[in-house]
Amino acid sequence: MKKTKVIFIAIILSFSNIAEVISKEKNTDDIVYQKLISELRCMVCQNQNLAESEAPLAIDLKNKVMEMIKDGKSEEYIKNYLSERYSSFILYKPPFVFQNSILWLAPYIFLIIITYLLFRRYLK
Amino acid sequence: MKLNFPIIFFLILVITLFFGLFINTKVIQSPLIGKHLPNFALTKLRSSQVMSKDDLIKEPMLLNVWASWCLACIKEHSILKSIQSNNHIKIIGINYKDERSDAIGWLNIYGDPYKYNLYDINGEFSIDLGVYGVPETFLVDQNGLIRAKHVGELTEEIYNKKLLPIIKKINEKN
Repeated sequence: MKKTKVIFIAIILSFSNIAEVISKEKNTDDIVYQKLISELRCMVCQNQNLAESEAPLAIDLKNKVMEMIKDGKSEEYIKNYLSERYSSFILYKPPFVFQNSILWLAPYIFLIIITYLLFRRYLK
Repeated sequence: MKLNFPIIFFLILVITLFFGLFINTKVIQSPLIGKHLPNFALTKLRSSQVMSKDDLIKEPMLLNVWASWCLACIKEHSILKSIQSNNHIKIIGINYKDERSDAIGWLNIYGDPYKYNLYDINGEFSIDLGVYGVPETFLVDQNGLIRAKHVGELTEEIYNKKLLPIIKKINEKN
């Protein structure tokens, strides 16, 4: 009885392994796809990402993203491709460039100023 | 000095935010301006002739993205017709996600200012152009460079102020 159980479990495990290998390639594509569409803005419904949006343009863009992933394009390439056409506004996490540097740096500048103000009295 | 710093900081903040109120966040500056028109392979609207970038005329033109289901396109149509009748510049249409019969019927009703139309049924070329809402109008020069873009309905004022000066500049150089 014990033996059959062990064999039975072994068979099930071996099948699950095969399935895993087969679906692995599909899965990584899917993970990249889900990640990308949640990081990209829907251009016609500006406070939604592509994943949430059912707008016709959002569906077209999702298809385009899927197509590029299937073509083996990297995440970087796809983000570049879209921001070259729709401007970096399409990225929910905008790149660090000169125009927005103040936004990226402001928290650190404030941290330094506030730390200085707080500790000034102890330094004296 | 102790009192002044917060007040100055506050004033700078108020001034910055005050001017921020007047920035139009809906209009997104196209990163395609100054770049070459992307390549394409599309049929004409009225025939099955396949056109590519190299088949376009080698002179300045307006590329107007439109659709028969787009209401703002009807509104801007009269200005397109007057541009065409004044012979300012050639207009080439990009018919966006439409039915051929609907688009041709629409042109029969409202008039046809286009030299010809490219038929972009699945919007693929329009994605390459960064189109996110019809109508959109691109000014392309004789070298295939995108010189200006207007999103939304084209009006006489916008045409005269935004596009015409660039068209004149292009024509002066030739």
